[in-house]
Amino acid sequence: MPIIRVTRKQIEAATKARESALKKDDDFRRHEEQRQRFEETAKAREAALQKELKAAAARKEEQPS
Amino acid sequence: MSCLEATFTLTPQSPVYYASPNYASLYCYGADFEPWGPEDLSSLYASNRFYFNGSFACDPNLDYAQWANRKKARFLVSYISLLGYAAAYKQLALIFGFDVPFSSWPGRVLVYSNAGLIKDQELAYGDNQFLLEIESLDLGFNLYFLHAGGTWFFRGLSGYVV
Repeated sequence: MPIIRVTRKQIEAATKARESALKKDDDFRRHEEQRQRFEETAKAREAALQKELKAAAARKEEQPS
Repeated sequence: MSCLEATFTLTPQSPVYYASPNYASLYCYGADFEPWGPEDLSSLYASNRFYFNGSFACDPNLDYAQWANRKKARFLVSYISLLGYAAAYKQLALIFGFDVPFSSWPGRVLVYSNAGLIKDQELAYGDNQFLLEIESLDLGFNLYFLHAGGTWFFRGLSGYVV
């Protein structure tokens, strides 16, 4: 199987490059801001779902057999 | 069968993983479908895959670290932030799953970070995965997979924190 190594140095360089692109490129910044809004919504939805699943599991456990 | 359960698996039908504070997501900015199977939309949905037609591959000679070039190409991107594992000095093994339907036309993806090309990776017929070893998890990062040639299907990304 092909193996690709991604080093810490590459991740640091990518972080800096992204920050620089966000400052320089309005179109990229708009795209990233939109993505971050999607992600906040997705996180909230996922957290609510997990809470609901936990509550359902707790209710099931409490039921007399 | 794997002896280790994946920390997360991102697929077309399940593109988000969230276990606070850890998060990973998959976006697809351009894939193809045809009027007939197995590349029609219903079949692709049922098999939980994205299809990339070789006629619409990007020019592998451009620099896709530049947003102006990247946004005109077809690509997948994964945003991964596993900061909950950073203090334990964990690493990530990331499996990219694919299928190639024709022996005569292998697939090709360019793996990019925001800083530049990481690897020009051939997707060989008969093979179905390649591995990315991520050395450090103390920063979130983005990985871009640009469709750069051949006809192939994307199956998913599985991450194993090790």
